[in-house]
Amino acid sequence: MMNLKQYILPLIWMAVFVILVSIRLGDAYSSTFFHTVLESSSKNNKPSKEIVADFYMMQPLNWTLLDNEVFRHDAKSPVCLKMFLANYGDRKNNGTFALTLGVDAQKHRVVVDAKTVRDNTNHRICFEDLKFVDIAFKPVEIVLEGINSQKGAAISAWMTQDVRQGKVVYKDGTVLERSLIFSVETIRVSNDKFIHSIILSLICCLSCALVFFASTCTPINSNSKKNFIQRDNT
Amino acid sequence: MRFFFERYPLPILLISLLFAVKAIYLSFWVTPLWDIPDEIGHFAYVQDLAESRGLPLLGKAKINLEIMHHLKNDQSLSSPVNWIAQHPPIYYLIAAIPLKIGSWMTNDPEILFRLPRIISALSGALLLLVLFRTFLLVGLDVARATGISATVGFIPMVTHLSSGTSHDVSLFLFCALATYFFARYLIFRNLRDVYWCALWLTIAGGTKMMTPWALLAPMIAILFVELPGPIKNWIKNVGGVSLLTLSVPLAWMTRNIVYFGNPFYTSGTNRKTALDVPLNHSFFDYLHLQPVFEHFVVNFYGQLGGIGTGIGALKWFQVSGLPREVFSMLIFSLSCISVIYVFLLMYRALNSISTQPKGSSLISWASNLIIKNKFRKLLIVVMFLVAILFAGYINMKSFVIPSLFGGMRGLAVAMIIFAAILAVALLFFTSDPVDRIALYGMVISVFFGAILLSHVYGAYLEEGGLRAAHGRYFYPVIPIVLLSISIAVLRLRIPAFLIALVATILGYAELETYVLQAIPFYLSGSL
Repeated sequence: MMNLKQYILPLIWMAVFVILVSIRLGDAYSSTFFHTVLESSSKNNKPSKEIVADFYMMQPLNWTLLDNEVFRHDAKSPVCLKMFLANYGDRKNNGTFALTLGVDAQKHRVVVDAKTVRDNTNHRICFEDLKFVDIAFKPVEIVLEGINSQKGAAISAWMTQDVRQGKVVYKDGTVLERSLIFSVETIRVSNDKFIHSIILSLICCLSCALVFFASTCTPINSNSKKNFIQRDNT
Repeated sequence: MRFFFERYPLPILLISLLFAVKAIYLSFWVTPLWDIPDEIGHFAYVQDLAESRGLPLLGKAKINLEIMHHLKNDQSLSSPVNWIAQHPPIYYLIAAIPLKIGSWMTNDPEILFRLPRIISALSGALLLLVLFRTFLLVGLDVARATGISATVGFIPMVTHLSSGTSHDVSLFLFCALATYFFARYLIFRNLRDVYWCALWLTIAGGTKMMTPWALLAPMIAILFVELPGPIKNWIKNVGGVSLLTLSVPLAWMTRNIVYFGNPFYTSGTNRKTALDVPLNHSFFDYLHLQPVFEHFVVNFYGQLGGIGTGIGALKWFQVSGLPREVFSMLIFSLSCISVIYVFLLMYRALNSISTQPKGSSLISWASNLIIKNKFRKLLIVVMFLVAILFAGYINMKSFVIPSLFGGMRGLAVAMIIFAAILAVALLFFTSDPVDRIALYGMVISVFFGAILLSHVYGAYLEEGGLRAAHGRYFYPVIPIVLLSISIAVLRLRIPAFLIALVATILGYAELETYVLQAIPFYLSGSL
């Protein structure tokens, strides 16, 4: 007869696992996702100087690289900007910096805490009120400026040698033969993301429960090396 | 049927089945076409065979127009020459079967292009079962063997490659089967297992051009020193095993000589290199300037993407964040376990607890000679010093990401090198076949790594940048590495509960990788 006690631990673990997954990944089980519409490519990347107070760099956008079909699809979607930033090997940085998207005369400025930037990752900033149609095919500037970070405790931005998106310009007008590494994204809605996430979560939970089931429900005498070698040799 | 269920308990069968379900689901609904490394070229070779165009010839074989139109959504493209390195045909022949059967039922390219992916998914599922049997073979109990096998299926890169048209996971499976019979021979001393091992090694050599050689050579060399005498029998078996092991790779090399005049000819053989004058950097300069170990480790865990999401342009990402940190902690912990285990064996050897090996093999003869020598302890001490100095130097000279987890990854590599060097000396003092397998595994893995490193170093000098630092290149040697680690886990009595806990954390890490990183990445490329 089935011994119910041996199933209790795996079942408890499975319940805990599901709760932990839903807490940690809760926000991910949505239908929205970020779609890249324009991006610069990596090529012999180098970091910028530290983004301390008074630091300023501007990067234009090159809309000739945008696909017209994508524009039609995403015209009314909100816009996000993803920048490839660095924090000097997970150094404890402080202060803030600002990222501004300048479209015509309008400036959309977001202040970012340097602490929230992870090393060598794409940092995403969303402009919920800005629709893609408001910026696409218009002269746009990305401005990265320091506010109050101190030298030795500030972040930096990666720059690529691929300047098809345009060249970085400093405050004094110096033009660099480099481009910021960034992506312009739109927020899209698709049920695919939700369905994929749920199915993979189910497979993961079942697999993990089975691993636990094997660890708690295996007969104790089965770990005899001799038994296994003999059994394997038959 | 009962025999089958006795060998494979229900949990591991279901875990393997769930892996197949996961990989097939990803193959058909999640992983975009052409987002697996070189998938477009592999598929074109498979298609040539499925459509009875014979064995494709590198330089003449083309990528079908239909594939190019699908890739770039552009009807004006022409059919290019298949540019990827052509490997021996065993995987392509197997992968052509579902494509051939599917072509009788449908004309839909979205389905046909994905059909060969089934072979990788099934290979991944079978791999978990073979690893499970191998772990049981060396004495692990069902719980531990299940936990460690499941862990392999929770590595995002293994799952990713299992959802694509690529030979990597099939090669992983063939090498796992070779490892199983390698271990069986060392435990049971049945000559039949040596020939089974040779058969799977030749199949591995008939699946991929280069990397299986770095496993095949040391594994066969070990079998030779472990084969029993007398000399007449030894020569007969060495000849038989050599012939069988080399049969398929030699047939492929002969073909290459006939067509190209070079046995190791690949698409890169006569390619113009990026630098006109090769770099003049030493090997240690290379390790210092380039994140070689870092990329091998990180890419082993997960480097997803290809030319599908980028619609013709290469677009990929390395798995980052919590999943990568979990993996870094895992490999650091496993390296520590390996070092502690090697220390345990060293303690036994220094205190003369080792027993003299029996048998008439070359290694038994050498072991008896060394154990009886009065300077035997000196050998261990010298090797210990060499190991600690060399591994320490490698760690000091290597490019290490200056963070806690980057440091862990760097230290893990150094500890593995340390354990492998010490393992060479300990082999002569260890008569237990299971411990010997673990030591052989460490030696083989570092030999394999050294060959691979010398290859990528050569590419660096010619190209001027880090090339081919793909963790998946290590797949042939991973079964024996896992076997060594599982023996260490067994000897150090790591609790089954802890292994299950680690496996489930890795299961979660893979889920997070897909939900937070891979799926959004794939969707970002859709039009």
